[in-house]
Amino acid sequence: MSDTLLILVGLWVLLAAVWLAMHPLFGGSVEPVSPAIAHRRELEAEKARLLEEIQELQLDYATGKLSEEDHAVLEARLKSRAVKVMQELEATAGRSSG
Amino acid sequence: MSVYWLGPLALWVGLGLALYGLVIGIVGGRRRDQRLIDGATGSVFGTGICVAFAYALLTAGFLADEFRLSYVANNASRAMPPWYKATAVWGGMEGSMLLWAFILAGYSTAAIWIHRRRHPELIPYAASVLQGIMAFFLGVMVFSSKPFVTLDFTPVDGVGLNPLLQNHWMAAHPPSLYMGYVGWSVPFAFAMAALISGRLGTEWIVAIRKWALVAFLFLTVGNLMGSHWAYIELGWGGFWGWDPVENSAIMPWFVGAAFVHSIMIQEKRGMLKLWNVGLVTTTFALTILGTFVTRSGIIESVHAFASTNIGVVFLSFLTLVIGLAVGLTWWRSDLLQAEHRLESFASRESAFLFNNLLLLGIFFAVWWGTFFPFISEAATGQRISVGPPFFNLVNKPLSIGLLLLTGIGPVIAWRRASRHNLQRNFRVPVAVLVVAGVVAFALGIHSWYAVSVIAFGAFVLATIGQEMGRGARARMRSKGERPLTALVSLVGRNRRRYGGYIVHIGVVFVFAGIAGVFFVTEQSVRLSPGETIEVGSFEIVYRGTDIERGPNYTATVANLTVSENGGREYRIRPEKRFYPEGQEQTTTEVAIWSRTFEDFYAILEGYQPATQAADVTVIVNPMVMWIWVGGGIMVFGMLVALTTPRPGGRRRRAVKPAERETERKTERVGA
Repeated sequence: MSDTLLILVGLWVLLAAVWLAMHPLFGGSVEPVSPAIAHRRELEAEKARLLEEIQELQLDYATGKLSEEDHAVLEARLKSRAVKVMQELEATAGRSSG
Repeated sequence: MSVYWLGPLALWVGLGLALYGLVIGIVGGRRRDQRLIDGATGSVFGTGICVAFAYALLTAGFLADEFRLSYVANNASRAMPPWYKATAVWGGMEGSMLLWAFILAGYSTAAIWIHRRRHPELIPYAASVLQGIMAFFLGVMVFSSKPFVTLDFTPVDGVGLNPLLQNHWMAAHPPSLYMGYVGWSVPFAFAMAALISGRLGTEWIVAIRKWALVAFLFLTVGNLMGSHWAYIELGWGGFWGWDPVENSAIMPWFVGAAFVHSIMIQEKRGMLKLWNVGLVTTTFALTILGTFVTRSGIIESVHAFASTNIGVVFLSFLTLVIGLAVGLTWWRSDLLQAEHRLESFASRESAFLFNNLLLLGIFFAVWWGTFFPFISEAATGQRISVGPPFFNLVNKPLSIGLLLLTGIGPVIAWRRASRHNLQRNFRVPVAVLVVAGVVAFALGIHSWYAVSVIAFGAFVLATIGQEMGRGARARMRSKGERPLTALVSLVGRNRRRYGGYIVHIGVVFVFAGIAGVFFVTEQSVRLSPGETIEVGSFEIVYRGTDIERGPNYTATVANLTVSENGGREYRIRPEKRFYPEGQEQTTTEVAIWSRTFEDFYAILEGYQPATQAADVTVIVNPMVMWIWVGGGIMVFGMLVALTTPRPGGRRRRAVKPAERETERKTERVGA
């Protein structure tokens, strides 16, 4: 490949880089993620985290790292929160499908 | 027409895009303007293209022997094999800066792409911080350490790469270390994004925990490779000399290790929020410091700092990084309050906190010993150095405490360990500790450090074995699985936890390897052809010397045969290599016979052509193999932990396509 061609390819690559950064500014109007979707994502993330925590809790209990009393309190707290989160998720799913 | 003028242009364009992304990321985040946010994320990808282009161009220059480029002429020569030419790109300061930027571009692109939808509140600020870091390195290359400077003439040949660096371990070590250094930019950027956005719960921790582990993994690999290179290439018989450059690479490892442990406490208990921001900032700052120290030679003399403006530039950036983190932390201090208090010293939280304090203690000792010559010279004009005895004296007790906590942490109860918990979880491991210590002492090991390593190492292995056994038994009871199936399922379903335990097994191996240092046997002799010596249980016979030619060197090679207790003979060939071109340097290539419990290590110190006698040093290094094996186990454990599925990741894929489509439509109205 000749140097001139290499230079042209190089310039084209650099122009593509500039376009990648600049084009969103000149596109149409873009709305941010809607609060409803953002909220649902947060709930989904929390649900996943809670389920992971419950699984870890059971393992900690099974391997003797939690007293029976602590296990019962923590499990009740996590499960109660998980149920609330799942109910809220169902409600948001119902609203969006309706 | 030369194509290399495109290099500086790519760096300039990259710098412009990085500054643009830095500004519009912050503005877009504050205004919640999606166009500006998309512009900021786009700028990360655009800058990545510019940097990758510049890196490819410089590599092409090395492979094409383009000695008109000053940097190529100073770091390569025609006789170098192509592989070393490609790796010589990072043989000097300018190329190292470009490698940093290239790796940062890769990390930034991947992190922003992966998290752009998962963490939309953090992304504009994270992109902004990453672009700020990128702007610094591109600024250094545009204004100071320029990799594309051309000479007024084209030299016939280049100076060549330092022969010590012409080793495959050294070729792989810098990229791995830099992958570790640069990787910490992502956790730092998300921490700053969390501070700016005020979202200081577990969100940013969940976002960065794998990135922190990736960076920690590469730092581990980089340090292991560097250590292995020192062992086989520098020819002094050891694997760690507490050299300033080595220390600069290990310091972020200690603080990073503290961070990957303490984020678990924030996730589980909502504690140590402020501490974690401090740790990630310190780790990142140390990676910048490490890069600077490695390439500037600043530790060699305070005058080197004054003779170049690069020191001031790096110091200014470090000040800016620390100032930004401190300022934002102060601003958000009300959101960084712990959700729970430490309830007992006998608890998991407390064990993790002590683990952190010991790791930071080791870090501080290394930092102080490394920078003391520099500080003393700057303050008094007199250079006072501290050597390995200082580092060993301070770090031995701290590291032993750390090993003990490696066993305690995983099995002690959360919140408050009851007497029942302590008895149940520690009875067997403590018995193993005592037995191992007594047996080691009875076998003639009287170094307190070695006995402690054996006893505490056994304790750690016992706690891990007990943990895995109990977990597997729980699965056998609840799922009716067979023992092996239960164990594999247990690890497979809890990869983060058990990956961590595998890392701890590796740590025990590494400690055992380090303890071997106290049992080294060394002997230096002048041998005539046919002469025999005995070192420990080894018999060594010198069979004469050969002269051999390599691609760009001439080697004097001593032929030795080694046997143990009259057993089978092995041939080993230590060398002295002379590189005539460019730097006219001589290097020592040691010969190593590696075995499970000891390495036989031979160095050719000199050769007398008149008498054909060879000056040889032979060293019996116990347990060195355990360091490399332990390092491998650590890396494997980290890989296991890294394969943990993202919380909700599997369930996320189950979202109906129609629902996804609705989501997409809502996200980008009119785009």
